[in-house]
Amino acid sequence: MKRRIAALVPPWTDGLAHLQICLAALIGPSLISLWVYYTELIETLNIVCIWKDASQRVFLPGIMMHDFYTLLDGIWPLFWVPILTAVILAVVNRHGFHQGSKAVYLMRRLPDRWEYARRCLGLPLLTILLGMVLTVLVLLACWGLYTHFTPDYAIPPDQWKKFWAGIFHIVVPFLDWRY
Amino acid sequence: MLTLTNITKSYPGKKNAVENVSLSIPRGEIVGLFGENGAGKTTLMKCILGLHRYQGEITLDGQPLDRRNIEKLSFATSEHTFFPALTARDHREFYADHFPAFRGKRFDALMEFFELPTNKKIGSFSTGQKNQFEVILALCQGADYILMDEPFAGNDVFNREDFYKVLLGILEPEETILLSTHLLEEVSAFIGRAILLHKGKVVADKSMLDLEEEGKDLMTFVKEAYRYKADRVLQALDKLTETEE
Repeated sequence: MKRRIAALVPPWTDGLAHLQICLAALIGPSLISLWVYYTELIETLNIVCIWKDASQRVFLPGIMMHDFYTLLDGIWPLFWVPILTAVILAVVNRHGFHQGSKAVYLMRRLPDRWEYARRCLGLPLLTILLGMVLTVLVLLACWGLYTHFTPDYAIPPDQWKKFWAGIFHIVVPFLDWRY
Repeated sequence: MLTLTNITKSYPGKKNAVENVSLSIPRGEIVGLFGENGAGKTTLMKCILGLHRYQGEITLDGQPLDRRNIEKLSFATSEHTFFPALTARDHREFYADHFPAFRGKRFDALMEFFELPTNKKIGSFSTGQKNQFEVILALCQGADYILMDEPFAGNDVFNREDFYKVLLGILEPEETILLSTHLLEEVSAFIGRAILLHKGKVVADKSMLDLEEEGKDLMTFVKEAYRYKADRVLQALDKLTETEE
């Protein structure tokens, strides 16, 4: 394991330390995302629901729950943390091959053509990939919480259409294609 | 045989750094590559190593140079290509991992000869030690062609002398050195052939044996090739003196 990680970072780098940074950039924002979302969800529920017998939330007649994607607004920035971490790591790694010597000349003439790219981008790309997987998992968990607290009749229609339109808006923010 | 055919390297908006260079370097030679600053020595070496894009063709034993045979070339440069934050021992491991022909015994012997510490970060070495280590790596990679670009810049004369002797002592018949340096007189006794570059072009290419037969030393040969005007300095001094008066 240690050797495999070492192959994904510059030779002078402590692979496990870099891995810890990446894991922190992945797990930390994911947990915070879940917490922020949960708080937002509960606040919204408090607006659209009333308490019955001080123990059960009941939706007010004719009131629908807010759209799922609107509750996610507060957590999107956190998904950028792994990407930002990966970009910084990649830049630092690459810079290291030019600092104090031109080790890049050695890397570029190694028989393994991917060695240089792997040591600069290996862990950052892995971080981005894991970040994407975690994003999906966090979103699924958020959806799970949303459906758990919202009865079917109170969920507005076309939730996933709206969700994808919301995603598109995040990727291409200057085009407001929200549903 | 390392063969360069019509190698041209140009930088945008500048004159050609290397222009139409064609050379053949057979195995087992120690070749000196000489030229003024900016003559194109470093650029030519970097073209050979694939560090620069170029026009023309470079082959090694008839095959184009690529990842399959690049390990047959090694490189020592005054810019250094080691990892400053690693120790010599780490480098040994790295090279052994990446270059199947790495010469571990030679590495150990040279490290011992130059009394270089194996467990100290290379970044903490003196400039002379760094140069020595850079050359050791190039000599131990297991390459057939060892390219050296001003490898001894910053080393004292005794140190360099030692190195030339060691070099001659350890080189095997198949190993070839292409040595770029300004230290003409120092290396004249060690090289077998001199190639002169001027403004990116080869202006002279002669074996030391031919020079010997012609009764010329390397310095004379270089001066002739560059049409060096011996009275240049005197003329300049005269002019300067006139101005002063």
